[in-house]
Amino acid sequence: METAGTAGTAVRGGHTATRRQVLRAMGAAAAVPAATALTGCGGSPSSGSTLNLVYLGDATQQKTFDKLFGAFARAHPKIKISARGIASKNWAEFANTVSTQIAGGKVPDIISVATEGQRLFASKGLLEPLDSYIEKDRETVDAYFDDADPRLRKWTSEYSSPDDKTYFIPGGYNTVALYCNTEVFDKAGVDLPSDGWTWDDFKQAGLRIKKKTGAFLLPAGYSFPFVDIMPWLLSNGASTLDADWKKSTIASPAAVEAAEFVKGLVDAGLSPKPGGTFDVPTQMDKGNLATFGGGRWPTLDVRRLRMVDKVRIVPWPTGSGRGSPVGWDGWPILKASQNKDAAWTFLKWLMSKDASVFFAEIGGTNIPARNSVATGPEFRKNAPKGTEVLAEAVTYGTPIPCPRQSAEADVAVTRAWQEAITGTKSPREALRSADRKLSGLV
Amino acid sequence: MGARAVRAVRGPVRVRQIRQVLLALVLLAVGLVMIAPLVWLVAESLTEEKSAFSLPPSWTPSPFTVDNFRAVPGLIPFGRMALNSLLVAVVSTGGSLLVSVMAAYAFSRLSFRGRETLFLIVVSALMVPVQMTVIPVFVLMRTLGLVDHLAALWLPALINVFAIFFLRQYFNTIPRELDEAARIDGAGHLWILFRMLVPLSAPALAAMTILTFELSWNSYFAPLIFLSTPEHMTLPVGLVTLQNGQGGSSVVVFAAITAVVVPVLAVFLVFQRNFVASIASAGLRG
Amino acid sequence: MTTAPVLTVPGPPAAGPGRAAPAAKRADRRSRWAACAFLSPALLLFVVFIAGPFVVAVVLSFFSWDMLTPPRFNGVGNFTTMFTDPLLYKALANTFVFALASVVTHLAGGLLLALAVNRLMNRVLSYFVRAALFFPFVISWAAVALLWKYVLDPTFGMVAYYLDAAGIAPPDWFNDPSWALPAIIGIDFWHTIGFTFVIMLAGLQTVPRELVEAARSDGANSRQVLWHVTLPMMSPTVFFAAVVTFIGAFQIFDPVQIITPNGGPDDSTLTVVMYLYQKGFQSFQAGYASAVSLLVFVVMMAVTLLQFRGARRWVHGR
Repeated sequence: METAGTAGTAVRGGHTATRRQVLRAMGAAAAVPAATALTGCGGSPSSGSTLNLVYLGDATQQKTFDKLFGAFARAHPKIKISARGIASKNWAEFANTVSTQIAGGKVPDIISVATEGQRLFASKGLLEPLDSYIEKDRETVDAYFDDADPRLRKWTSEYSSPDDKTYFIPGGYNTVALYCNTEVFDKAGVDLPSDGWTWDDFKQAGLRIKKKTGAFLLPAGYSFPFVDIMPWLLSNGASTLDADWKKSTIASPAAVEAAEFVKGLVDAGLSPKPGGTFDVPTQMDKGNLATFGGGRWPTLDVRRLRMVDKVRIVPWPTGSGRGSPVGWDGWPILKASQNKDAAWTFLKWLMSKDASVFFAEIGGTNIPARNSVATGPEFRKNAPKGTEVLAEAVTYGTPIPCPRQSAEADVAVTRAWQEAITGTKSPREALRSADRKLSGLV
Repeated sequence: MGARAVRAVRGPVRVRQIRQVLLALVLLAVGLVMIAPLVWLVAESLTEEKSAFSLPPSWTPSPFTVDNFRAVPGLIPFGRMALNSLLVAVVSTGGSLLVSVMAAYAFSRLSFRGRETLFLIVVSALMVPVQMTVIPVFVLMRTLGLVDHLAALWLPALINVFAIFFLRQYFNTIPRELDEAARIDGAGHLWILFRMLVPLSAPALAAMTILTFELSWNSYFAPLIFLSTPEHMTLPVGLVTLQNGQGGSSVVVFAAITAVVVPVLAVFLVFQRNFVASIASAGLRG
Repeated sequence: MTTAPVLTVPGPPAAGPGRAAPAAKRADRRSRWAACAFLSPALLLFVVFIAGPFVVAVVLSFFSWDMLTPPRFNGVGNFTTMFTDPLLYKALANTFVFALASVVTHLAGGLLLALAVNRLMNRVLSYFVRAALFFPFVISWAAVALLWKYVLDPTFGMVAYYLDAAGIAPPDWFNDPSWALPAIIGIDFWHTIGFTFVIMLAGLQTVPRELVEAARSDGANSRQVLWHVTLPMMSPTVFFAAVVTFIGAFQIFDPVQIITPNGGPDDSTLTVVMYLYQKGFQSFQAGYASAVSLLVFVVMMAVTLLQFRGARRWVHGR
């Protein structure tokens, strides 16, 4: 539902969430690499030794995918691979398009699926169980998981499979922290927290910044739940759904408190009006914004705007505790694929350290699953100070809740948050109506 | 009442002049307000990212740069999309005009039983909103394997009921005696249609060409439903996938919008007279 | 928008075929063959892409279907659901408000502008105004909608800036249920006024000069001329513009979908066609969506007929 997958979400929500964020997040969350292929189109042949990969997204991600494939080709010259983006509005629509294409004879071999889409794909019976492959290549797989945070593997089997089988190899992931413009903080004479801060500290800092520099503290939004909503809920011990994704918890007192806090920020003029259109990194560069939330993907914007040196990443402020959503890519093999062995070869290669390092180097939009890479120099090169905060967040993070009807759930949640923070309804009332909708869905 | 009275009613010259000035000022203001967003669009798209979108809005690009346009293809396959749009528009326009001209000829010049009834049935399709037929057509396209292909757009566009109607009305205004004369000289239907009626209907055809092309070029609903891969998209859907820019910033989005808008405006300025005439004629006649 | 004109056309009476022809039977038969050949492409396409789908849509509205698994017969289930679907009512209400507002603003604005431009003596200015009015209409909705999201940005947009400078607190356009629809109406006006304006201007120019002159020499002042001569003579044009604007507005989709993809705050910008799109292509309820589309068809037809009926009373020459 909310999140990571995001793509769907953001797009629908419109304003704030930038579609870019979403795609990035997907890419991030979802894809290791993300990118696509030019492939022309539609008709890429799916037989023979060419592997077809599809992903939810558009042409922006193509370059990254192409680079990744280039590296793969060097290791496995016999297997050709091409990727194709499908610009669906959400994972349900994406799954539907993929099913349609399979029915029409265009069978992809691999899909890059964000957390939001994983359960949906697995339960539609489109995916091949990977257990026998994993058994066969135990060593490679174990080496990979030994280097990764154990939670990723646990979550993948807990949340992404409707039965006992394994359908996905988890790839890179994303969490959320705050990107801060140190110049704005310096100018206002406010210290950045060296070791965590509370909501209150955060708001006080915002008031001071507003007074001294006129800059906004944070762009409060609603259309991109992974960044706009979940961090607030999770850092107050709340969430949209319970741990099993079976019961709505969006109207819990802690959730209402979170919405009220954000509304307070908006009311105090510490945020531009929610739903704005202008891109956040540029506004930060101009000194109009002190902070914004994000995972790994904004680092690319920060680089483009050449402000790496003036940006620092700090953990999200805490309400009742630390919290961050986590979304990750899953890599399945399609049941209908004619090239399952080659597809597995690709997945195996993705698990290798080389592939992981390479992806970090070419500007991937997520955090590599391998800890050794996530804390390594390649990942931190030309990145803001505090980048390690993102990887640390996985230790206290919570998988973004995404039931099968994630698209509808997303609409309910973003809608309620919009109403809550813009004052259309009281936060309590807004979240209660979302609660009714969510309860009807799960 | 004599001339003096008339003049009194219309007011003295002086008053009329003042009125003209006031009128001119008001209309000038209206015109400026209308184009202000477009001027702003173009100006910002040519401004360096770091200085763009300053307030108060700046109406000239400074510092000037074309980098934003260079960044567009990195976001969406712009050239490809433009080509797709062009292809769909040209095929739909050309094809539908050909089909319509022939049908209009049959409805105007050929006699067969049930002609008027058939014409009525066809024309009543104008009452059927596209949204109603789109789901069955989608299913049909899926069966044909044409979803996410440009053919899904231009194929249904080949039938243009309005053009059939409009052209038949126009053909009906051309005297039948001309056909008779031609027929006596041994001309067949094809000759009469393409050598005689079509050239005589040039203004009507021009109007239809312009309208059909414009409609296809700007269409959003059908491409949104039928196309899903960026390389197959037409410009309007491709543009919307930019929303907030997915990898570039707002200036790049502005550059993309500008690149879509400015050529169209330029074409419009060149053909303004025909364009406006076609709208007016479709409106009045039709 | 191009669809409606048909209805208004007081076209020349169709010359009866065969009336003049000395028409031997042979020629008649040949003409039948020719008719077949000339019509078949159009008829084939008509059946495949309009008539057939129309029938299928009607049939589908009695089924429930997710477009993947086989359809299930649902009787009148879709229709009974429809009558108790609060969101559909909301969408209908929004659509009617939008359409009415659109008709009123476009007719009034278009007529006023046409009258004004028609009186303007300065050629250059007149050219500029006409081009400026028509410019936005040439641009695709996609571009227009994106552009206006920036123009109306509540914090960094230029409208917010100027309102602020004028001492007016800028509304939070697309977050405020009472402003979202009016904002869209405004954008639609900007985009489409050129069309109405051109039609009005053309209609104005068809008013015979002599009539106006005659009225003037009878001592009528400008206002009287306008009300008693110009407007009545223009009534067919006004009527045509009303029908076309209404039909176009009732099917509004592009700008609302692009600007407020969720239906806006409190569903305040959800329109019928948008709802249909959501049902059909996002939640894959093809049967229900077809039922809604049938409703759109019926409403459009009813309103058009009503307009024609009412028009008989006041349209000149009808």
